[in-house]
Amino acid sequence: MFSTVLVANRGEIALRILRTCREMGIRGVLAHSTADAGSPAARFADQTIQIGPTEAQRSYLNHAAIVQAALSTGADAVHPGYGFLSEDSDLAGACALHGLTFVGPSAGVLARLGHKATARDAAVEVRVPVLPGNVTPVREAADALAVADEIGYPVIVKAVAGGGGRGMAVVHERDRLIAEFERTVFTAATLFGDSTVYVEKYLHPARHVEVQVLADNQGNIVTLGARDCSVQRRRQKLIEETPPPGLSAEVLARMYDSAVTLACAVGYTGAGTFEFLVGDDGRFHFLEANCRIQVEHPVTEAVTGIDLVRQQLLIAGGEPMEVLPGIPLNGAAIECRINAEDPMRGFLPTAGPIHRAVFPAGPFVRVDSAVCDGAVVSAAYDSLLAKVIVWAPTREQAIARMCRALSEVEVRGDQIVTTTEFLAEVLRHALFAAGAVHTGLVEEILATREAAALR
Amino acid sequence: MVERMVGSDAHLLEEMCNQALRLQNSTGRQLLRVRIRHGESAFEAEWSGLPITEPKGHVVADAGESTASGAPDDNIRVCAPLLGTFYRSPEQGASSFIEKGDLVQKGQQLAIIEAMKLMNAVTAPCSGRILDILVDDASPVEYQQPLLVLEPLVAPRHGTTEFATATV
Repeated sequence: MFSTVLVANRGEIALRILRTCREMGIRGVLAHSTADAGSPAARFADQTIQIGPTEAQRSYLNHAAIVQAALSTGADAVHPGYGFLSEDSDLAGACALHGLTFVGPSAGVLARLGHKATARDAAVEVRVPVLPGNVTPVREAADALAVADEIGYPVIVKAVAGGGGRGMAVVHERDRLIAEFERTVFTAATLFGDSTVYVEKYLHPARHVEVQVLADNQGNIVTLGARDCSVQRRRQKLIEETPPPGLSAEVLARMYDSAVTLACAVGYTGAGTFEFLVGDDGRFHFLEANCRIQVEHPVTEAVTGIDLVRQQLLIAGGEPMEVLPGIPLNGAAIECRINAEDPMRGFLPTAGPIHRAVFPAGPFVRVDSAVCDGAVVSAAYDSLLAKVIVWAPTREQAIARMCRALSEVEVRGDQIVTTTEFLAEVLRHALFAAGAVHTGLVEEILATREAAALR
Repeated sequence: MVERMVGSDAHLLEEMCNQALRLQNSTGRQLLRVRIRHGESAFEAEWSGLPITEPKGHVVADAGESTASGAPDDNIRVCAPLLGTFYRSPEQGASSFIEKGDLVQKGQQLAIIEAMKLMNAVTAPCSGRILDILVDDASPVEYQQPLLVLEPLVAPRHGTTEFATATV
């Protein structure tokens, strides 16, 4: 096993990875920006190394600085967490070149699954269902129009290099297509430096369900259930749960099969997630693969008892995973993301100092956070403040437990507004209680709220 | 030597000091005193017989009523512009770029930070004297880690006096 691991990330996930490192007797080094010098993760780490300024482009997104930090601190491996360079094939390649282990799949797998178009190709090759649309990127507005006419509206125009809910546009009517196509091409070029886009059928209402996969270098591969992540704002997840409510065992089994087939086809190793869009009829379509640990991984940990980061480190170190196929999934788990965002202002991020931060505790509640009294929420980074995860024998009890847990959350700061109350509102909503979740639920709830406010 | 310059006091002072340092480097002796006058601009300098690596002498820049202060608060900590390995000389066995007590010019190379086999120069942000070297040769350094303490030769002044010529 590794003796030293460099964690090239920040916030709650950096702390979460460092915690498992310590449990495994691995020295944990945190690579951080100037803004994060005094963060809880930095205080917890066995060693820290400052790699650059606040600006992520020169710190957490700086390949050379991260590899140099690993070399300077004598690390054997680099754990990239999620976001930033976690799915970057160049970082994986650079690590390999310098004798460092990248905790994640190989550079080749990252390059193939990292691009939405090539990932789609890979799925098509092994007959994993994908949404109607074109497999190859569309270059011209006229081609986009032809594809859309063929598959029928509504369609979604997506940037190949897109992520985090950005670089995509839903088009309901034919006469809006060219404008939206051109806007998405422009956004893609500006945000991701790659203007390639493709057109796909837009499924609505739909559910977003993902399968957790673990694969090691000994040829073992397992699925660890599925997570429903349909409750989203601006295409970013807010609430995640496992098992997905109301999906039949038969549909889930076929989805697990698809995930394993695709993972095997590309030679996937490590922890990964295969995302599917599920229609009203229970038919599912492969969306994309997330080649990293995910924000919502704790719900899977809650129902399996498996530490996914530990498995990632074991697999990266060339050891067999500790999970046997067919591991039982116990009860239900829900995660809520406490973000520094204002739901009434389109989930606009809020930033500033936090005077007081109190998070829930009590039976079967887990909080993954890296926020403390006096912390300053920087506009330079993601707005996630904390993840509250609860477990209960049934979904109903898990909802009640989450409502209780959220009532304990207290985050105070003059300029800080959080998603806490809105999350509680969603949990209490009849549609959520009924398990009738879909990707448009948040918008529906907000619309009801606004209508009520007008009355 | 006559040079035509236009600028603020601070700019003038800095340029004057650079001239003085250039002059000093050509003689290899410790600069003791500099005197600058406006208008019919003049530049006076006084040297000691000491070699410039001796840290004992003192330097005063005198322009009108302004005097550069040697107070510790005014000292500049030169920090690592990136993380990597700190080297004091251009290559192994070569002599160091600078020693404690040296007078340096703005922009002069003080050290190297090697990162990913690329050599990055650490340069003096202003003219002054090296008071301390905080990091051992060939040590790993973090981004913004203080490397050297530099005593500025002149304290920047906020003046807008226009002047025409400086005579050295």
